[in-house]
Amino acid sequence: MRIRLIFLILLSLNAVLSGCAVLHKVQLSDLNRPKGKVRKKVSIKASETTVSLRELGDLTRAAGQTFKSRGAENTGKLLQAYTTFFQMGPTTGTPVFNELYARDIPQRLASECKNGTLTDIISVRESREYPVVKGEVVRIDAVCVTNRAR
Amino acid sequence: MVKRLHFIWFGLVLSSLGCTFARSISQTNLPQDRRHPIKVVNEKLIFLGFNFDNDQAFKLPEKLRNACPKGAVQGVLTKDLITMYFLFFVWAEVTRVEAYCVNPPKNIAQEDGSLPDELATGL
Repeated sequence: MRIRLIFLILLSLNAVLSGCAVLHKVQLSDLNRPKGKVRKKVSIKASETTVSLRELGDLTRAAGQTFKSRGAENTGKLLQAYTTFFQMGPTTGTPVFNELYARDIPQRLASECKNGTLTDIISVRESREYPVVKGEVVRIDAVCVTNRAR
Repeated sequence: MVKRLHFIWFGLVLSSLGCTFARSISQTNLPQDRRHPIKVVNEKLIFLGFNFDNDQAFKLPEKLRNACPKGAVQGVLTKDLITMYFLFFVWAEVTRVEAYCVNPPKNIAQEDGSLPDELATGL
């Protein structure tokens, strides 16, 4: 009995802590052969942590119903109503407050490949999903071709 | 017994059928030389949403390079799809890439096999 309980706790911890990776979009560039002798792999990642108000509302409402707390139930209902009215329409991942986290991607790519040409660019938009908390991620891999090693 | 077998058979047939959704499609500039089309597919099966990384996507450039070792890969069409199987217990994340392998012309290619900038960038 105790072993089963420990196993269940470990399984739940694993599910909560590891987080599922959800793929949203993959985009590839041309794979050219620019002039240059040195090929260096470049990898950048931009991410933003956010909270899923919809999930928070569902959980709060369910907790309110379970523990007979009218306040929690109403808070859950309010959050659900908020997401219904203000977070509707097609989305990619969970909404974040702003897109500033992804604004400096070209500058970061350029700084990783000074005096070189970037090719083989692959852009991946994905999410790391934990209960209520989500990580919205942009990962870009490329190859920097230069004439000399830095 | 026969009924049960029919049920299992029906379940197997249903689970082999899938609905495919296109999540995103992107296309880069088409080259003039379109004699050598290449195709690369990346597929990952996911059971009940348990997926802990998307690293398979980053193998695509390498696969394309292997399909076109001496040329440039241009006119890249990336189709990012998801195929759902029976009752959505299992789904496949599929990325299909179609492109053209543009070999460097012998009279233009430089000593190291690379192309001049204006040709390499497709301009």
